[in-house]
Amino acid sequence: MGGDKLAILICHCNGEIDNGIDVSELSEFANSLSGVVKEHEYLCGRAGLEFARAFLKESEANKVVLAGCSPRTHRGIFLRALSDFKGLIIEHANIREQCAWAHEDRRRATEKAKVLLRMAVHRVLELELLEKIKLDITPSAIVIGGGVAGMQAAYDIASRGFKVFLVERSKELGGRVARLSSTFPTISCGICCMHNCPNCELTPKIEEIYAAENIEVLTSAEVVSAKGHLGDYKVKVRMGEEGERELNVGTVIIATGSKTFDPKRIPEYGYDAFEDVITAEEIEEIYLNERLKGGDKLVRPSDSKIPKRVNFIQCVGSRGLKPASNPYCSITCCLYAMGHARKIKELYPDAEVCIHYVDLRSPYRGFEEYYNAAMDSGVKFVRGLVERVEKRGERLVIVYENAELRKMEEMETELVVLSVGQEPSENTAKLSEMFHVGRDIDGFFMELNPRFLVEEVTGVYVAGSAIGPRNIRYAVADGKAAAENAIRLMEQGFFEKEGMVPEMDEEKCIKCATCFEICPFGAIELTKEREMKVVEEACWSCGICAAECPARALNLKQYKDEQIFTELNACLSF
Amino acid sequence: MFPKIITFCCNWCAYPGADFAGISHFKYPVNARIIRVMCSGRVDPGLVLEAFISGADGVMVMGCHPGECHYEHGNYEAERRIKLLRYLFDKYELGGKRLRVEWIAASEGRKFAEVTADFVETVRKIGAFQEKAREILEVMKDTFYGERLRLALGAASRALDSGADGEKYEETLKKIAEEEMKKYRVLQTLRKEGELCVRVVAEKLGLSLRETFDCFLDLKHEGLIEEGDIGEDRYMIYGFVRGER
Repeated sequence: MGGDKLAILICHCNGEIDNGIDVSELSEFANSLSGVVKEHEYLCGRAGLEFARAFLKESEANKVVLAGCSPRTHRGIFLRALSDFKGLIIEHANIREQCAWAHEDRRRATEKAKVLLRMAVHRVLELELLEKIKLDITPSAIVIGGGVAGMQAAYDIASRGFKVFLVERSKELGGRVARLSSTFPTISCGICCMHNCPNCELTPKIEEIYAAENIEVLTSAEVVSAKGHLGDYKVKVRMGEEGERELNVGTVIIATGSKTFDPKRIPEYGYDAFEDVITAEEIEEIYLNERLKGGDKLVRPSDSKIPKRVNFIQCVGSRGLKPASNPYCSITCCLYAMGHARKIKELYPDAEVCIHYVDLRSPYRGFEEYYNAAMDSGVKFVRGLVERVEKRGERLVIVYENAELRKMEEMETELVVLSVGQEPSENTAKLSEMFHVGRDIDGFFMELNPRFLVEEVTGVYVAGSAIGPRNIRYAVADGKAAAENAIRLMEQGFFEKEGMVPEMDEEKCIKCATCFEICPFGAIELTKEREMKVVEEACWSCGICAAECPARALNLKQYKDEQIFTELNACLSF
Repeated sequence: MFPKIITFCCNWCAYPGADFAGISHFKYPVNARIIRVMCSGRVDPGLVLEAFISGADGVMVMGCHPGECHYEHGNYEAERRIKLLRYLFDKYELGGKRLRVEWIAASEGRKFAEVTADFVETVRKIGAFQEKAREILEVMKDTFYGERLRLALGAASRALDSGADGEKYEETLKKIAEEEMKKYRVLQTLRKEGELCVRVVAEKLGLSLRETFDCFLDLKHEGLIEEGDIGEDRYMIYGFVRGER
């Protein structure tokens, strides 16, 4: 474009690039293009960045091509270092990762580097300066899920002075942890009761949450829909008889936990068929019920007798051990099975307790010792997969492999406890769609790559076992981390994002609403007059609308058709 | 250099995947040049055709694995469009294998290098485009920039979300694309040769009189051509590109 002043900076990357291509030849070629050219040994180092600044000042360039490493890894460094050059447009020629390091033949790689440089030069000359889009962040948060992760996040955010809506689907806060009879290895109650006993788990305290000034607890409440974008979400919550309520929040924390694997999917374990095959969740219920009646006691469901022999089956639904299983390890089951086994031995020293496992995992300080103590207390550990649980007459029989002896064995038993793993909870898909948080291959919410956090702020964070199986302390730590992210955003009060958004040629628009239908982020509004309007704040810059627009009325800034053609031509027509 | 390959890479998976190939020093041929886009869903078939017309011998579109698209369904949109384009490439004997959609995760440097090497070989085997290819590519570009096919493609998520039969939908897309190809071939002929009547155009293109007549009508409706002289019957109606007489 006329009036542009172009600078080209070529980096040697401490010889890395010289290893793959002839940089002086590239430099010579660069001189034949329309800008001023300089080379540097190591551009992203402190000296290199100073050099770049001096060069850009002297050349008064408004456009610069950095030939060197990948923009994916290093663009941020240059953006920060050159942030005070207002009006400067930076483009990259990726001659390191995608050229010097990628090809055998130095000669041909050098030729390709020239093409890459020419493409970047032609492209940068086509680029226009984007106006930043400033988003205000509403100083309030919604925390979805009142388990330990959610409670911790709510507590932390509120204690920094921001309003928090803590939305819990069930009647009570506490999540799964509140339904545990005891937690291991501390053998304390699941959720903290305000008594501050010395071996209490480090969970947030329910009463403190209720007492906190900035937290509004909404129990028996469910999120039904969400609209908006970073800094300004309108979340609709359905609250039993009280009807619906719309909450306006700036940040969102999803802490919806997980659900346990349904053991009916492994029919050979007999969960469906036999009363005395129960899950680890149900053994908790038995303890809690008995506690209400006055004391620790384990009775089996069929006849309320105290079982004389209990067998635990590990990895139920985990680690791909059975066809219906999930591929991953659920982290918590080894420890809770050992805990229950020890507890049974403590209550009934004569009872026989046996844990069938394939591998035991107790990888944390104190856990290995806990395992040793379980063995010392007389709990039997049998390595090998359980084949089936069956009934012979009135007797329950477990048929299993003994891997140490390399043979199948069987044993009569009175109670079988299935150590079920964790799975994404049912509403994961719905919330993922609502708040545009990706899910991984197992269906859990995607863990954000911390490196992306800076360029990819959405104001939606996930904590606890909604990301994947967690034990209590990890879930609480997650809650703290998510809260910290949300707080940082709200304390700043605004967020500036690159203005890489579609522009609409209203004359060309045929009002077909394709863009409105296709935008994954609701960034196209359909007005009452049936006009399409770009909601820049909500746009994520994908450009799907531009590729789809039947009338070709939409074009994504920075990736406009013409800009891509220019790049194509620079690549192909020489 | 032959073959020239353009690879459109999405910013989130494929582009870092290509970087990772370099970082791991997995070597691949120099023929492939990467154009970064935010999402593979940005890749308009028009852009792909533009690349071919400008001299590319093969085009790859690389995006995130299914279900992992940073923009939810951009990769599916890309796949649907390229699949259709591939179908037309085969139908018009341009070699559908010149087009490929691949899912590359950021960690799949090896896959990127292998797929690229394989694609370069595939295109090398197909060879350069024939002389007449350019004309067909131009017609295809018109087709994919045309409103009708774009409307049909754009309706995909609506249609499929509301339970339409995927296969049937695909067949419909193909049918529309073929009809549009015919129409734009007629337009191209008129552009090249000036004013012609239905009968002559039909003969030149090997189309039936009836379908050529329909193309004339459609083009006239869309305001792309104007009606000229009329001969003895309706197949003697002359048409010319709007504003060019």
